[in-house]
Amino acid sequence: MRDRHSPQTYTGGIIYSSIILISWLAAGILIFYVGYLVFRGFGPLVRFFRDGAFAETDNILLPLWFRTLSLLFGGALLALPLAIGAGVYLSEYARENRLKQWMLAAVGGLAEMPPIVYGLFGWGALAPYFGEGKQTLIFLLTSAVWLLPQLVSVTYSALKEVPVSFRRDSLALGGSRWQTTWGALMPCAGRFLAAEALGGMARVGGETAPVIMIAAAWPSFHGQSLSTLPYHLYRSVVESGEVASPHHFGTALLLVLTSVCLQGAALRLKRTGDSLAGSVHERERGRWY
Amino acid sequence: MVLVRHPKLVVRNLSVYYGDFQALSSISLNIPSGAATAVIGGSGAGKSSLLRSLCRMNELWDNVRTEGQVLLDGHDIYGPDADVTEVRRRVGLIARHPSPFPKSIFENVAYGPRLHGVRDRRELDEIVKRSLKQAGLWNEVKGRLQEFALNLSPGQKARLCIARALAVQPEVLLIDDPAYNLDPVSAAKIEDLILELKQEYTLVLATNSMQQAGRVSDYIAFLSEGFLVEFGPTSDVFARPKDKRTEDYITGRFS
Amino acid sequence: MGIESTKEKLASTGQTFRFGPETILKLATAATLVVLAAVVIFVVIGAVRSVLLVDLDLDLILTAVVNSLVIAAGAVVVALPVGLLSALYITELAPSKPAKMFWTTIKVLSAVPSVVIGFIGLVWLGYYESSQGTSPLRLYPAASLLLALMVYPSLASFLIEHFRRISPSLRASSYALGASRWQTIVYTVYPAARSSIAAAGFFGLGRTMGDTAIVLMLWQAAARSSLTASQDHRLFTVPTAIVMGAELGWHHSELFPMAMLIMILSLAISSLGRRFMQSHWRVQE
Ligand SMILES: Nc1ncnc2c1ncn2[C@@H]1O[C@H](COP(=O)(O)OP(=O)(O)OP(=O)(O)O)[C@@H](O)[C@H]1O
Ligand SMILES: [Mg+2]
Repeated sequence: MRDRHSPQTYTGGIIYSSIILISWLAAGILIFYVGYLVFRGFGPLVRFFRDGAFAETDNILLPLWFRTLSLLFGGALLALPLAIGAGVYLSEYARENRLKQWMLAAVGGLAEMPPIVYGLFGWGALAPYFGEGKQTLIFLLTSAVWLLPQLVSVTYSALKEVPVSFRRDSLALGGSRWQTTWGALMPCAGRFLAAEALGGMARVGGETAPVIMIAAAWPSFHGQSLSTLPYHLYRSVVESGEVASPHHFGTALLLVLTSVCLQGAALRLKRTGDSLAGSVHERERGRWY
Repeated sequence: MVLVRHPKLVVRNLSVYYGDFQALSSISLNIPSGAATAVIGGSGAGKSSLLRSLCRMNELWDNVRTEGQVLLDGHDIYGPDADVTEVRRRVGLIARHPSPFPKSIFENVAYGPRLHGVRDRRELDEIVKRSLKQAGLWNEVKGRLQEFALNLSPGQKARLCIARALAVQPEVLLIDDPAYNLDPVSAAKIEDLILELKQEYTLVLATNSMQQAGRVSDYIAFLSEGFLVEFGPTSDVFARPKDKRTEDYITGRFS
Repeated sequence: MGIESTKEKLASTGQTFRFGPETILKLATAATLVVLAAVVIFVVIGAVRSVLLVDLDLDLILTAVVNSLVIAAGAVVVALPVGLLSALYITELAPSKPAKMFWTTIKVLSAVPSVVIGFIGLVWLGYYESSQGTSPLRLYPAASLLLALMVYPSLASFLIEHFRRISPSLRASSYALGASRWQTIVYTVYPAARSSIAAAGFFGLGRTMGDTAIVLMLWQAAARSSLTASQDHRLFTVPTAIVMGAELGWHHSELFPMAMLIMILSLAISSLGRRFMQSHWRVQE
């Protein structure tokens, strides 16, 4: 059967193929620039790991990379206990009322706040308070504060994704809320939580603004001892005369690889989590019965 | 009120409100021990609400208000010294949609005992075996206790949920719509299971099928729009319904 | 038997206050709220103090805010339609294998940091090499395009995730009525997805408006290549103005008012997005 809108018609065909074309074109641009990075950066990166250092900089990429990762995971570890506590409270204990709505709105709004706001907090509040020489601590705290609202809303939505029947049945067996949260909900929500947390960390780890701001608290120092990969890339690109130097490509590639690995791990975790939840036939959400 | 020799649960003037909506209006009822009581009524009559308020599951909503008393062996489960988790352990509720946890069969049944502090593996093994046997599922799953419970058939899932509830050694079992959405063969198995279970437990079933109530229950409570219209031994209610509405429901005439 | 032995333990729960799990969770929530309130109050107090104590350079603030919005809107205008088409392609048209490939690609690449995109942009646009310098006005479209490149993958995966939640039975019943694929998209999927498209627009606006690195790098490149550009603050967005203020000590008094403005804008944008999502769910039920 043919109709005016069916794909068999001439216009239908054009619309179809243009949707497909534009989609792959867009993805193609992404793939292209990453491929370009790999093409230009792979050699320097290998040379770099083999020889240990670049001639033109004193910085060593490997320690820089370790510092980036450890600051990131350190910040997450600082924020996680508080965030999980608050997320569990909001989702499982708090009564449905205005206050809860307000708390959720505040957490959600702050989770989406531009990083520069947290950078300003680190620069204007934490840095003067702790003073020079404590840059690592200041940066850890800043990323913890930034991660906090993100992790709270991740925990909250992970718990809300669990079918309510699990909650109901565990309570009906005489479990307390605490036992129910850890025994019945977390085994299900845990993967989703971990995945979303990793995704959030991939974003936070690649962000430059907070480091630039904290480094700006001591103008002479330019973040030497605090440098993370994204900050290092920013600073050396901005300060060197030659943008397209192999060093920059190597750094950029390492940064992309790190973020992509974190995000890929998140995606994998989530996919197994999805298949787990997908096999629960009765997905009643929102109501207990 | 119908005389019941040994009431396990005594319901006194129980009213349940959801916000401003009154779902149950001053229900008084003695639920006999060691027998099956069927709560029947049309959709929205308040059967599930009644069952949930017998084990304090209604409290999970914030907009619910419960008035009146429910005495379990003479102690008010809504009283100040009552412990919710203990009440829920002694009065098990099996909800309408059988939904095992996404764990293995063994872990599903062992979940309840673990909540209440059973750690010993041998003891757990024993409880799981006994409960599955009681639920008539043992022969079907005994070789594959570590399998994922969500792969069972719907009928098996329903019985697994019963086994899971039996594992905490409840005294009363509340079953909301047994055999809901099941094929006739699985439904018959569940009904046989209920007939067996009522030897040992006090059962309360919510159903809107008169046939099912007639087959398995000893007593019938008929609810309509939140009111208890009639309560009595099943045979009496079937033979001589006192209320016009009950008669209509039994004979299948609805206004 | 274990169950009997725990009876007494459980029976002791009364109405009296008990230091239990709930107390710990409440404390955690309170601590979280205190930390978040500290951030907000810090910015607000700073802003109020500047407003009261100094003459603000309103021109700069206004320019920065308008720039942020214009550049972000430009990025969304480019990225949203492309993202929408990609989402339609994945959820409605593509066979499952290419769809999965596409999905994995954009989802993984949505994590590429914006510094990297700023870097690539500088390499390709070649601003450093241009001898006579770059007019800041030429940087607007460049910034928008790079931001669009940055936000496109997240925008597309946001849309895909929401399109997937449109119940398959909706589509099935449309096909069952004899609708073609195109009719199903236009008359069934699109109306159900309209609000999530709007929400995606706000999501993209918030993301691009808050980004620092891309515009900052473009501006610095322009400032290096010509002296006039380094005096010119016409390309400043709010985040870049804040960074330059903190780094070089310019416009110190404007930092906090600008931060507060961007906080308010971001809150407004995300709550608008959320409102659209809520109406979306109401439609679904
Ligand atoms: N959480 C709730 N909030 C508001 N109203 C509710 C809630 N749960 C039940 N109700 C209302 O209370 C009334 C009784 O509901 P209940 O679920 O007890 O009926 P039921 O007899 O079990 O019906 P069914 O046979 O359909 O299961 C209905 O009108 C229902 O809409
Ligand atoms: Mg019901």
